[in-house]
Order: sequence, then C-alpha cells, then structure tokens
Amino acid sequence: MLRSDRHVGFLLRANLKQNLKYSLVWIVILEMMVASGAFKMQTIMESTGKGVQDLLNMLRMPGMAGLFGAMPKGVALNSATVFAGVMMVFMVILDALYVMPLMVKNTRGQEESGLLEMVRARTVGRTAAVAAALCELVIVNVILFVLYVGTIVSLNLKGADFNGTFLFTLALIAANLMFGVFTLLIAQLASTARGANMIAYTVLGAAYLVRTVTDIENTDWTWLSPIGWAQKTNAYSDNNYWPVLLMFGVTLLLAAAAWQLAKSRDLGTGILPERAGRARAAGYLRSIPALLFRTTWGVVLGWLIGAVVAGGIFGGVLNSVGDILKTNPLYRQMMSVTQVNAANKTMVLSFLALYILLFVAFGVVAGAQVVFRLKEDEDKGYLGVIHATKQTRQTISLSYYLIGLAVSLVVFVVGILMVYYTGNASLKDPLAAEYLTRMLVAGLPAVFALVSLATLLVGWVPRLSAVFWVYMGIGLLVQMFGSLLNLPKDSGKFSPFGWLNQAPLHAVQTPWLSAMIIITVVFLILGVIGYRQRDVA
Amino acid sequence: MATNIIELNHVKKNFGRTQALKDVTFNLPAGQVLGFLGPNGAGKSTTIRILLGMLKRDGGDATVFGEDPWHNDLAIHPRISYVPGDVYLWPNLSGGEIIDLLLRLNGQDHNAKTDALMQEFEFDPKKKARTYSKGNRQKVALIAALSQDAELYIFDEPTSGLDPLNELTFQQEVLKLKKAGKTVLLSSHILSEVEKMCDAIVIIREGKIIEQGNLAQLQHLSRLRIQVQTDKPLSALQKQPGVYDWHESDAHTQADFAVDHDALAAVLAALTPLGVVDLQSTPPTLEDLFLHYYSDQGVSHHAAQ
Repeated sequence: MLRSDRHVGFLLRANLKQNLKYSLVWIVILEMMVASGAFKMQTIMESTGKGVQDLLNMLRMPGMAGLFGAMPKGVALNSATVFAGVMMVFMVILDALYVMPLMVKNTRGQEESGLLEMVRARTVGRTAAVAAALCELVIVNVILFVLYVGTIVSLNLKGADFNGTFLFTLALIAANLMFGVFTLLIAQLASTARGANMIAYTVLGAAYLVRTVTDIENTDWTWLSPIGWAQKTNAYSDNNYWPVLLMFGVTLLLAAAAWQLAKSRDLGTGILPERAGRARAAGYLRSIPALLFRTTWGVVLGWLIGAVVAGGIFGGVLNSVGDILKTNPLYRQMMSVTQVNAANKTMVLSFLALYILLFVAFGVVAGAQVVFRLKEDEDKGYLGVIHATKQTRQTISLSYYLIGLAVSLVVFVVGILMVYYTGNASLKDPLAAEYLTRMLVAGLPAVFALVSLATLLVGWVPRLSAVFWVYMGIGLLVQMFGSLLNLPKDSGKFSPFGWLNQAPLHAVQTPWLSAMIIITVVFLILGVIGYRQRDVA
Repeated sequence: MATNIIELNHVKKNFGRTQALKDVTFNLPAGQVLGFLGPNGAGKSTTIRILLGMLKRDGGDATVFGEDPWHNDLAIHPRISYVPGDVYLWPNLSGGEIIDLLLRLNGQDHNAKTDALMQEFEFDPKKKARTYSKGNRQKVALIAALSQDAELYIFDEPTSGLDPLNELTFQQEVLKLKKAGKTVLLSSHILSEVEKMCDAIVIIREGKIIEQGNLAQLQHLSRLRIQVQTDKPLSALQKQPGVYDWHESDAHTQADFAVDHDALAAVLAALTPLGVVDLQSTPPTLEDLFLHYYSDQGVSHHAAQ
C-alpha cells in the first residue's frame, strides 16, 4: 500500500518550489487581512466614541449578518467576539480561495499538462501527487495557524483569551483543510483543471449563500453550510470545539476518498466516462464567435444559474432587512408611519447598494474569464491553427472581447432582475421601477469598464492578468467593507466599484457614468490594437 | 525562372535577449517542395510563424505571395494551408468538428477529399480531442490542411507523432501535391522523409541558414561510403588523401571507409591492383550531410585530419 506513495518527498519539494511565489503572496495577504481586521476592531471597539454603538447596530442588521455571519446571541460584545463574528466567514472564504487553485494545480493541472505522466513514469507512486498536495496543504495551514495565532495574541484584543484565539484559528484551519481536501477530491473526479476549479468555486459559493440565508432567517439552520460549522465554534464566547472535530472528520473522509480514487483510476482521465462526439460539426460552427460559444456555453450557463439563484436569495431576504425597523419600538415611537416606511425603504435601498457590488463582481468575473481565455487558449496552443486561417487577429480578439462583454452583461442583468423582482414579491411596499433602472444604469457601465480593462491587458501585456484579479478583488473589498473597517469615505474610488454612488440609493453621477463609458470604448479599441501588434503563439 | 512564393532576406527575430533568428535567407519558387532542415530549437518554427504573420520580425525582409506577411496576413492566409508542429485542440470538441471548423474558417467545407483522407489515415472523427494522442491530434491538422485547396502548404514537423504507415500516407499525399504543381514547405529533422519528397533543401542551425540547394548540389559535399574486399592486404590505402573513417578486418583484406568525391578516382586506381573481390558503395544520405554540418565534433575531427 505504501508503495503507491513512493517519492512523495520529491514531488512535494518540487511543488513547494514551483508554488513559492503564489503562496508567499497569498500568505502575506491573508496575514494582513487578519492583522488589519483585528486592529480595526480594536480601534473601533476600544474607543469611547459612538462608533462602537454604530458598528454594533450595523452588525445586528440582517443584511450585515447575511454578508459576514450572524453575531452570536446573548454574549457580551467586545473586541474579541465581534472580531470572531465578522472575520470568520470572510477568512474561511479567502483561505479557501488560496488553497483551492493550489490543490487543482498540483494534481489535475499537472496531469493535464502532461507533467505528471513524465514524473509518474519514474519510480513515483500512483497516489504520490495527491499525497504531495495533501502534505503541502498541511504545511501551509500550519504556517497560517502560527501566523494567525501570533498576530491575534500580540494585538491583545479586549476579551480575547488564549483558548478563544486557539479555537478561532483552529476552526479557520480545519475549514481550510476541509475545503482543500474537498478540492483534491473534485480534481480526481473532474477531467479538466478548469472544470475542477469551477466545481470547487461553485460549492464554496453555494456554502456561502446557504449560510447567508440561514444567518438572516434562522441561525439554527446555518449548520447546513460547511462554512457555518466554522461559525458555530463561537470562539471567545461558548468556545465550542465540536464543530472543529466535525470538520476534521469530514476532512479525513474526503482525503480517504481522494486517495482511493487516485489509486484506482487511469492517469489523465476523470471518473465520468467520455461520451462520443459528433463526426461532423454542426451547421452553425463556422466562425470564431460560434467556436467560442461552442466551447464556453457550459460555463456561461453555470454563471447564469448562479446569477438566478443568488439574485433570488438576495431578493428573498430584502423583506427581513426592512422589518427590523418595524419591530423596533423605539424607532416606531420616533417616527410616523410614513416616516417608518420611508426609512424602511432607505434601508432596503442601501442594502441593494451593497448587493449590487456583488453582482457587478459576478458579471465581471464571468465576462473577464472569457476575455482571458484568449490568452489561455493561446498558451495552450489552440489558436496556432486558427491564426493561419483567413480569420484576422481583429476578428479573433474582438470575438473574445465582445462575447466576454455580452456574458458579463447577461449575468449581471439577470442577477439584478432576479433581485428586483423576487425582492418586490417579498416586500410589502414594492420598489419603483426607477430603482431598477438606477441599478442597471450604474452597474452595467461599471461591469463593462472592468471587463474592458481585461481586454486592454490581454491585448498588450497578457502576462499581467493576475494584476486584474487583484485590482478587482481589492476594489470590491474596499468598497464593501471600507466603512466597516473605518477607511476614509472615498477610499473605494480607485475602482469602478466606488463610482456607483451607492446606486440605487442615489442615481449614478453623470461624470462617472461618462468616464465608465469612455473607458469601456477606449480600452476595448486599445485591446484590439494591442492584439494586432504583438507576437502570438 | 519561376516566381518565388516565399522570399526571406536576412530575417532576424529576438525573443527578449535570445536571438532566435540571426540571418535567415532563402527563396521558395512556385511548384517546388522545399525541405527545411534543422535540429530542435534551430529556428524552424519561428521562421514559419514569421511567414504566417504570427510573429513580427526584428530585421530583414519577408514576403509570401509578394506580400508582407505581418501587414497583409489577411491577403495571404486564404492561400495557405498550415499544420503546426505541436497540434493542440479544444479538449471538448471532437476531431470531426475541429476538421470541419478549420475548413470553414478558411471559407471551404468538408469535402470528398476529407472523407478519403480520414480513411487513409484511419482516423476516428467522433472521439473528443482530449482523448487523442499526439499522432491523432496531428492527423486532425493534417486532414484539415490536406483537404483544403491552397497554393502553399506549410508543414511543421508533421510526422513526428505518426506511425510509419501513416507517415507513408503523408508522403504520398505530399507527392500528389507536388504533381498538382503546389508549393510545399516541409520542416523536419527526419532526413529520410525530406529526401523522398523534396526538390531542394535549406539547412538552418542556431538561427542561421548554413546551406541550401537542390539535393544533387548538396550531395557532392558529403562523402561516399565504400565497403570493399580484396585478395591482397589493403591497409596502405588508408594513407591515401581523401579517405576517412577507416575500419579494416583482422586479415587486412576487408575495409569500410568514407571517401571524398574528388578522391574517388585515385582510390579506385589504387584498389584495382589489389584484386577487388567485392565492392559496395552507398550514396550519401541526408543523414551524412546533416552530420557533416551539425556535429561540431565532426567539424573539429575533420579539421584535425
């Protein structure tokens, strides 16, 4: 049995070296997130101003509970408990976004590129790749564990005892191991690296959505989501260790399954059998856009379903967002009925202003992925034969760019329509159509501006595609959590996420709107020019 | 003199600091089959990509059909059929779909020739591309390229993944193209392949064209290999000028050696009085020619003698 793990050490060393830069960047980012989160919490909570009460009020709102996780009930809220409540979900997701691609890259990715075939022909065992990936997962998590504990202890949050810090970090690590190992298993099942990544992200997204709904509606049901297990440790208050045990148990089961699959399947195949394809191409398959449609429709459909589900969920909870005012007797006393209704609406709208950022991001990721496929397909050599045909670089690049823009448009619009209509179905005072228009008018140009930035990068410096994701991610996070982290009001203005002017609460301002439209057109044209003048493979 | 389909004049290409092409100059006249020889990494694929307008040259002139391939790729591509050295295909499309697509992207369609080629190459078009071996992926590109009606066919090491039977099929197809008066550029490091199909060859090494000409012109540069058996001992012969690489039997009546073309008469004259029992001469293969140019070791060895 052990024989099949031969030379794990060799593979592990090679992988660690290969992934060094990627891991270093991620570990630094994650460490900074924990440190800045704890530090901000400390500054706000341990100050004497009214910031404390503002923050606590905000965190008790259902919409916030939906985004970050529900605050534990019946506990003293101090720096430590609020920190654990706000940061747990956020960090579980960030950690998972780090290890998921890493696990796929080390197993299915290497298999796809043929690297593993070469390695396996040496005296390297059948399950060595999985075992090496597993070792790497444990190593990076031990590093993260030490860094997190060290940071939190050294910042000395009020109310933080070592037991709570230990449990909080242990829960993060356990969840991360669970998602990492789950990805390993998926990488064994799926037959492409791209597919494995997509499934892993989808499951992570679904876990987040499930706990969004349950945290708003009834926190008992949060047990349904694996991310919820980490929340249920209630570090610094109940200090419940059972969920950690549960996560470790699931991790072991998943690891055993991945190992067993790796041992018994053929190299280079998935578990699902290959269906035979068509002998002749369908009649429509006679252009680059048709080819792109043929090769991406599955993924696009996935994004659309995601947009419908997420839109439906966010729309469905809008009702409870508003109800908080009505159930609060103090507010009712202070305001007349119409005023309550108005405040209620303002509240719903400001939550929509937060949710719209998520849908912009949703649309951008879906569209930019298509745009970046121009680089990917080129790197994979698919375009070699295409470039020699009479299709021009202009046709080829524009096909990828415009289809990317179209995908982002459809995903964004479908998501927003779902939020609006399911929201109106649940609200007692439906929102006027004007607010839908505001969301679309502000959001679409932002989506386009970001996707066109991707076209600019692909056209001129395709190597820098990672920069795009970092810029987009930071832009989204700063705009969403900036106020919570006490950042200056305009600090989100460096990306289109900050240019929306909290639509639909306010309408987007014309200068920003024009800026976004101009950026879209100019970047798109530059992207085509860039692709025409650079070397292609 | 026929018109030149391809003209390359002192073409240079740098990738960062590495000089991939230092000086590439050669012409391909219409109706000729040109073998483009060189070891791995010599610059064959880079040259071809410049001809297709995929890479921008850093110096020199290049024309294909009289057009600059970088600026007028739209004008030349419909007249070219191309098979890349490494064929990679969209994993979730079937081979048949890709062949049809490639033909249609060039304004043509699946035809009788396509079906005939699929049979000749024993190709299963229904399988998804991800399950194809290198040879099968090459077949996809070959079938699409050969069933396209073009004026210039460019093959970049087309047979590196094919089995000998398919290789033979490919050679026959190229000979058909030759008969039909098409122009072919065939890059390869398999010498016997080039020898069977090509009118002329160009040899590239480290980004420079080091030799070109038709086969007959180049053959005089290499030596004949002679195997001889005589009645009397022939050891003295190895001192003769123009004789290299001497091996003889223990009885000193059998020998195996290489001889320069211009020294052949003198060597034969020296052999005759020894009583020749058996004599075989092997014409130089491109292999010899290739080694002659390519092994630095061979060059220095030659110089030492």
